[in-house]
Amino acid sequence: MAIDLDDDIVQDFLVESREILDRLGGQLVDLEQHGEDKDLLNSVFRGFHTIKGGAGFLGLNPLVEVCHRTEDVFNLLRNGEKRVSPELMDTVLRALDVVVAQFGQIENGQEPEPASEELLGELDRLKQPDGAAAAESHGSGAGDSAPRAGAQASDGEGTDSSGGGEDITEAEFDALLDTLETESSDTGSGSDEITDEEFEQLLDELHGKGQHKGAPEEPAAAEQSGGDDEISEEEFEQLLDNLYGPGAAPGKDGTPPAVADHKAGQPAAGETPAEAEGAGGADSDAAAAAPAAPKQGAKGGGSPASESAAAADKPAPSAGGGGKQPPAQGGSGSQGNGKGGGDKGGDGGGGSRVEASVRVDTAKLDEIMNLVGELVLVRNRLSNLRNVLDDDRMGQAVSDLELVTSDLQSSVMKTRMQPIKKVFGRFPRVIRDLARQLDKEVTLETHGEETDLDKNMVEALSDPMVHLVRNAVDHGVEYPDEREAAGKPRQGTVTLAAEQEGDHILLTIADDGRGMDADKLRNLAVKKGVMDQESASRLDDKEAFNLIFHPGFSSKEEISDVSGRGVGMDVVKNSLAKLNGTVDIDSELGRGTSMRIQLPLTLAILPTLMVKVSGRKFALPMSVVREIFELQDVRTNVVNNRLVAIVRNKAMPLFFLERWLDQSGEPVLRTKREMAEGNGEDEGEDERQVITVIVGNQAVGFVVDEVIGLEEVVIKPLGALLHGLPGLAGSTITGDGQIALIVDIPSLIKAHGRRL
Amino acid sequence: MAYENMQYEEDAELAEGPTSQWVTFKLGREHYGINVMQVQEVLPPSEIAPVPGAPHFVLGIINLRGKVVTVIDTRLRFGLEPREAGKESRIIVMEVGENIAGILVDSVDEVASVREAQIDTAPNVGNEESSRYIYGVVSREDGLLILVDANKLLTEDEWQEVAAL
Repeated sequence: MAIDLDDDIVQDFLVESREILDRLGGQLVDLEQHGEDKDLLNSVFRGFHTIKGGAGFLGLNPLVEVCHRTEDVFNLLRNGEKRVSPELMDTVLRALDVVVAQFGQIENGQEPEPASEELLGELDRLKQPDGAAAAESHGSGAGDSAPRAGAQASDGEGTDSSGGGEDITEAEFDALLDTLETESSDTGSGSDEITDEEFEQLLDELHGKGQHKGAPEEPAAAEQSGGDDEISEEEFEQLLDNLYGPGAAPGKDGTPPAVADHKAGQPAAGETPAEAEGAGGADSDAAAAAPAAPKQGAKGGGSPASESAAAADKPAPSAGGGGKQPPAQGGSGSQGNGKGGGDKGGDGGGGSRVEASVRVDTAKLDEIMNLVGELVLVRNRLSNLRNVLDDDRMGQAVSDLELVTSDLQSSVMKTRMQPIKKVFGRFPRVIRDLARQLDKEVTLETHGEETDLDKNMVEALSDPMVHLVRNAVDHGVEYPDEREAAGKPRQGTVTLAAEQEGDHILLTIADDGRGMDADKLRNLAVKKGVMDQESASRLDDKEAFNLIFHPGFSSKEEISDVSGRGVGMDVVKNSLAKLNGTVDIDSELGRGTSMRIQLPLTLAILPTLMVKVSGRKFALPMSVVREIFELQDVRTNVVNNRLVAIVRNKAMPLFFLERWLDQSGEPVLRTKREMAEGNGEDEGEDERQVITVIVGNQAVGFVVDEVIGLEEVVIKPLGALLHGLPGLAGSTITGDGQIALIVDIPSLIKAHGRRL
Repeated sequence: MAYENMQYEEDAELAEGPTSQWVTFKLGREHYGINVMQVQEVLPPSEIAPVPGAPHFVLGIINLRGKVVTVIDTRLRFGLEPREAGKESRIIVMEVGENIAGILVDSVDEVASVREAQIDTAPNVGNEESSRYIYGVVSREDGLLILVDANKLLTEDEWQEVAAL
């Protein structure tokens, strides 16, 4: 079946499932530490179950196969019939990886590839409970029966004994829908409502949290079926069978009718509230017992007749809230113990909580951000005008406008903010896998997960962070024996911390490992030909640590598949520089290393230093600017055909921005400039300014005609024709409506450095 | 009756063929046309900020109500001698796909209706450089109107050119 990515249902499924998958990664690692945590187990179970449900609905069978088996495993786990072991977790985590990969394929519009037979087989093996076979417990059913039986009935899973374990295939689904349609036409009520209702319900399951609006049809459908009493017991059973596969059948056959009803009812209540309610209005015993069943559980039994009355009351409110109520909640309740199910389901249905959040396409947010940016520019122009016009009332109005736009700007900015948890969330898994792979013992501590960061930033941060964390585990933390010998606890700790500091974010990645040896780094630098012995020995410790950001520098003796290909750290540094961020290393031999990353809060607004060159404005990102001085105040020399300024006894190469502009065909006062360079020292009144910027690990000077000052600018991307020009990060419109180009210094030097 | 009317209009269409509207402009001595559907607006030339490192035919960028729009020198694009923008010069802002770009032309004349049937495939007008962007030509009383394909003017080759930088 081709996957229609434009379909809203598919999109919703993908988005929701992504969230679940993100959560699962963390939960699974937690689980390894707290294997007995029932809530956690339930939550993981529900996660896989929800994905499976959605995938089944969309006919994504490869996905269903994996999720289904994993879900089965967790079903055993949460019922205490199996214990969490590292081996089990390995398999489950692999299963999660497969699911994530499959989602990647689906998002690219491909059919998901089936998981390997080996993995499926492994999961199947894990599906066996540690203890006895399930056959007997399954038959006993009822509220006090082994939870597993109830759970399985309510999940609609077949067990091994019942010959089930079948996925809900597309065909089955079609059959189900058909059945539903026939049923409802039997009752003479509109078949559309029933299918819609079913649909809503499926969507609810997909959504899990019930973001989906409650269906207006639901109450109507409940009413209609309530009014009709044509649905026979058989039909209802058949319906459930169709829905849940043969799994529910054994309970039905092997136990007294009341229990059968109870069991049949549980799944209905837990998983398909809409159906249960719809049927609840009908008079037939089975149908009446369906909504009643959870309540039965709650009261420890009760006559179907009395329940059916209560049930008749229920449908309306719970149907109304049906869209909001997480179906999984009801399900889990009824699975844990017969009692909770009905109560929870009822509460969830009755107390329809109002959805306080909406999902907004990020493109829309970007658009709003853009518009606000333009508003800011207009505001800037108005405030320029205010100074010209000098009118009090005008001035007042403009001041008000300034306030409002600033507030608006920060509000919009906040909507784009996401907690850094999103990045941190993947690290428990990363660290766990690494530690196992390397035979180390490592725990992860996180602080400040709630710190908000621009969404784009959160996404862009992920990869560099992973690299740093892997490095911390691979290079930083020692092997347990080593640690013990050094008098440290066997278990190493990697700490991730985030905090807001003024208008930027400070991220710290620290380990309590062996730390970095500055001398070793110096030697390595010489050995690798990065620098000569002389200059290496002159480096202070901090500078030596910074050597690791040099391209082709890996301090690990041999290459492991974790890190150490020597391409790492300079890539990390570059990608952080792209975000206008900086990295700083601090390390103490034997005590550990900490990397401090500083990042701006957002990428949308850039603090820049406005300068003028050849009569045109340019914006230099403030993040790289270190200092400003006048060219004539410093001694200059010509080294290797380049003018070099001597600042604090260090030579700093100077670059002339106007020569970059030259190539666009405009003649600049070239001769004078050339002379200035040729003489090494300017004899005339050269009031030009030098701006020291940091490129990589080096300070270089840019000579400009005039420094205008600090300005926060909104970055406007250049059109397709000019996209990706070296040296340009974009453009912006200044307060006076002029265009200023934003200079991307690293790429400028790389591309044009020789000529500047 | 409505049906009959429709029938009548259809007949008329058949007789004259569908028409399209073209914004005509002058470059050197030639008249060119660009499909009106691709034209967003026509501006008097404002301050164009040059962009260092841009392809040679890119004049620079302008601020169009807060949007940054790239401006192309059509003369260079069509292999004509570059000329300073004069009083008559205009920037035609075009929308091509998702991109917005402006072309600087010597002057803008009118919006002309052209019947599809009148459009001939281009004879080799001008030179190689310009003929690449030509959709067709229309012979009118006051001379030849050269219809430009805006898509080609702004895309494909440019991409290669930009990529080659």
